[in-house]
Amino acid sequence: MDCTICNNLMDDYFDGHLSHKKRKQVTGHLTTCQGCSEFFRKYENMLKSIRNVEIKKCPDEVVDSVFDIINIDDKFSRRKSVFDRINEFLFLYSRQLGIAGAAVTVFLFVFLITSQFDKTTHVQQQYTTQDVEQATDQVKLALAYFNQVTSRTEEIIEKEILHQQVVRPMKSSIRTALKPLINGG
Amino acid sequence: MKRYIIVLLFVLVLPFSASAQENYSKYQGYVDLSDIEEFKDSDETVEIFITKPLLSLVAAATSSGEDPSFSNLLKNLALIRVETFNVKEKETTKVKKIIQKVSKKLTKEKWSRIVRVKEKDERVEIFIKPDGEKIAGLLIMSLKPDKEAVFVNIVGNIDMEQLGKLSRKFDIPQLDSLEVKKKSKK
Repeated sequence: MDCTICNNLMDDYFDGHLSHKKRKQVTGHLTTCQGCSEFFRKYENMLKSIRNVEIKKCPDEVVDSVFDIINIDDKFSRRKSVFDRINEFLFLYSRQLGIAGAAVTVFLFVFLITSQFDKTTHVQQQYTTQDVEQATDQVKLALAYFNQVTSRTEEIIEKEILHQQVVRPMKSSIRTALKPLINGG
Repeated sequence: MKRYIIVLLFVLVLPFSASAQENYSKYQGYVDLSDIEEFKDSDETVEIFITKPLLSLVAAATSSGEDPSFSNLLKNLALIRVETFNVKEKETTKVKKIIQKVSKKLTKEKWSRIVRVKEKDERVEIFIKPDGEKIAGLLIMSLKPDKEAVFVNIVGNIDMEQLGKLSRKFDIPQLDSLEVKKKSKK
């Protein structure tokens, strides 16, 4: 056994985890090696000192604070901020968003242009002289239909309603009332 | 890549179509006459639909004519629509119901009925849509059973006095020879 192997087995030696054979090999090396023997003695003293240290109970506030810190860290590791989520979304869908944004911009641009277009000029280019002449005749025809209906309405009101239902009964009543006078009664 | 080009083309075309078609239902004086669509296949129909741009052109073209009031009337109008069709005896009830339905709807929408005539099976109803001191719309519905139904909708800032005066100058028989949109199925 050399010094390196002996030093590596030191922890297991003191913990009692070595087999009888290995323990004998370590002890045999210590009797022949002054350096490892010295190291063994210091290590043994250190372990004794640690065992003799008084264990003090940790105050509850300190324990709670430690647990709080552990819990906060845990929450942070699970929950993402809104900003992080937005960043993640943008990163994942950057290409599609770029195309959608470009399409919306083009649409708005073209829509604004067409709505601001000089409509009068546009209309004049759309209609020919023949269209305007035909439209003039159509307007006159529309007015003629308006006249037809309103004239017929006047006719009905005057002749049918007023005459039949107002004037004629009134004339008849007056004739009846004046009959005695007319007949010399 | 192809897909993106198609999407881009679609996006370019869309605003043109959106701005091209005017929605007349936005005008207070506009009346939806879709119920009479089924009668458009009858023997003889007249359909007139003149929109604001064309009315403006007609007003401009007739401004230096004999009667400037004609031009003045048209300048302020947004739409003139006329629908007439022949009505057979069996269709009279249906047309009466349409007139009733439209009348109820207009009454709910705060139109004012200025004329209502019921003479045997003949019907005439005239509505106006007031807009403060102005008149924003006019609707005439007329039914002569076994003859003709006439629907006239005028939209815009209407001068009723001018309209009445001007209309007396025009007679349908006089205009029969003119090139107007008239369909006659034989």
